[in-house]
Amino acid sequence: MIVIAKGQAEKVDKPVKDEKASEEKASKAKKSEK
Amino acid sequence: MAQQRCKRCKTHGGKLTEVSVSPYTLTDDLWGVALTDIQGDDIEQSGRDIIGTSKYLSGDNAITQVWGEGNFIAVTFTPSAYAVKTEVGIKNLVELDPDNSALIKVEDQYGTKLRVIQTDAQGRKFESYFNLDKLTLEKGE
Repeated sequence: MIVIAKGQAEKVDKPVKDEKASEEKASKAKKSEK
Repeated sequence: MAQQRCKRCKTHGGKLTEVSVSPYTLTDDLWGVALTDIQGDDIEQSGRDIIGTSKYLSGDNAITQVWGEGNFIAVTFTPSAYAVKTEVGIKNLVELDPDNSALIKVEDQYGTKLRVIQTDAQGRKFESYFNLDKLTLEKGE
């Protein structure tokens, strides 16, 4: 199965959440809270 | 005596023809999401258009967790018998997996062309494209 989203096509065996991006987002949110 | 070459096999070629598109039916669900939650049973190819109903996929599931909520369609491509490679995409193209299928998030429906490039054993290419303009997109609540 391939997935095409935002115009970009990629091969996907199983959807994988971008944990790194989520962690970065959370870390930025924490910093801005301070 | 000259060796006779086959003109109709994958190795020696034949003419590449248009790829065809049909709704994905290989399994009832994609990564735990029921196909009936993704699209209606009216998805089909009509000339250069893909028509039918794309439902609004929402909630917390394997697809929305990665690509977000929105309208998706799941389709299977049937390449020409002489194609040894079939690539599909909108901006960039990637080679189809053996299931010849793709899940497409329909974000910019109008003017978006789905491109399909088939390559035969001699490296000759055949490009097809499909419009998404005529899909019916259900809206989220």
